[in-house]
Amino acid sequence: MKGLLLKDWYMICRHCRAYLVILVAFLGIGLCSPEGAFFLYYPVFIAGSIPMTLLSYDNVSRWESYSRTFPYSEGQLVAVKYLISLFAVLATALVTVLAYGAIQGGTDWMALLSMGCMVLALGLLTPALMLPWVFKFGAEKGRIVFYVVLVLLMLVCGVFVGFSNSMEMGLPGSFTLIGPMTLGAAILLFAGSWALSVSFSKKRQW
Amino acid sequence: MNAIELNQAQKRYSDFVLGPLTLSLPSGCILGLVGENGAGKTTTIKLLLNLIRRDGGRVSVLGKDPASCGPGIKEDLGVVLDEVGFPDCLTPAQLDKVFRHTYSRWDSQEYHALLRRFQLPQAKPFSDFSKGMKMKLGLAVALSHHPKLLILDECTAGLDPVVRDEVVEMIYDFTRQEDHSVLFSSHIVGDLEKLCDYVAFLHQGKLLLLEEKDRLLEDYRRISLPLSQLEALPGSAVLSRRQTPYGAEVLVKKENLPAGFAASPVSLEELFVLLIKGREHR
Repeated sequence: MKGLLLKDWYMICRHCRAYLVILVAFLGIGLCSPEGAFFLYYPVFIAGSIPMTLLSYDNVSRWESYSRTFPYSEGQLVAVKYLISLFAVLATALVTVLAYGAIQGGTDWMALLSMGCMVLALGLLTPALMLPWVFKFGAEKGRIVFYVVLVLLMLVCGVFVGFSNSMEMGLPGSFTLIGPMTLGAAILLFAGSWALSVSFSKKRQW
Repeated sequence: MNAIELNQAQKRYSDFVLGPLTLSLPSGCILGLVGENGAGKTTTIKLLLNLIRRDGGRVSVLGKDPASCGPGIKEDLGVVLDEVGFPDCLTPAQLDKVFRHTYSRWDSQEYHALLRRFQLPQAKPFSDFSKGMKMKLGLAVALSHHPKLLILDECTAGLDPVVRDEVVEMIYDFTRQEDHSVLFSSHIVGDLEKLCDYVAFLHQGKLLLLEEKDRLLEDYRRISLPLSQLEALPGSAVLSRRQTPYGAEVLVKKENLPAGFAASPVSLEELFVLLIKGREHR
């Protein structure tokens, strides 16, 4: 699987340089602006979508069918995309939280931890919701299905927000259970998505 | 042992059916899969590589069923598909590193020797390669992990004659080792005539003919004659014919050829065209 990771690393270096610019620009705006929460969370959302970009390139270059002739299992071919999304999201979340902490003075560790959980959860959500459909239908159709799922998720989130307000408890600093619970749910979703993608990929014809 | 075996293998699409197809490639030989565009060559190769699910029959590659044996068997396969699927931004030098971590028997020295032989630049991205260079790079990768079976799908299509000749020579070199086998699909029959031990003709998803190449060339004959003489030829002798207002070309089996008719040897390309066109004119 090292070969696949290396190939995707070369592709990230070539095609995803713009993400670094987005990361710096959005973090800058998010940290300087009082209403900049969206800008703070956006880089991790973008980082989570890197595997979809890679899969689109794989589709165009025909690598997606060619790679099935190499000695890799379907599980390995799927795993590499999940691992890349995991690395990208973790790295971006770390940078986001550290930058936020540095600007804010970094005294309220509980608030930072809570924020870290939310940033990570958001980052994992994109690949978790999108990758199974891309592995089932291909990059083009998969993206459309993702948007349908996203709208449905927004509706679910609306209900969840109401529920989460009741979960704010008087813990040390600004810590609440919302962040860890959301992260836990995102991790479960990510793991389920991974298994679903392997299953879809095994059934797909190349 | 057979390197490849298809036994009543079948694949059904809404608008196309391949098979039931029964053919085999003895180990150490080269089998040419010939057919017009859409005849089922790529579908056959995809069945062998387990890129698609079969709807019936049995498939065996190097003695194993590719649908159930796991990815290990692919260490012994070198594959070039009709479009070489390397990412556009990768260079041959980067591909060396990628495949060093992919194949347990990857031979960097062999790979670089092939790059030099084909005059392929190390540091140029794949997107800047011409079609011929792309195909040669695909072959270099397919050969550099010392496979036992080479599966080539239309790898000479669209190449100029000089490059085609180089590719054919490379395949020929590969088969110098007696346990090396090649399945080579093409609609350029001339390339197959130079290389193949066996030839399989596919037409509309069905196998028309599978025979040793030398035997095909020996057993079949072509007769060109005016239309007025066509009636004199016994129908049982005629395998296929192509008529024009000026005359007819008839494919016959040498053993059935009646006395008094002058027949000439037939090339694989003529045999292929006459078989296909003859069926269409029936």
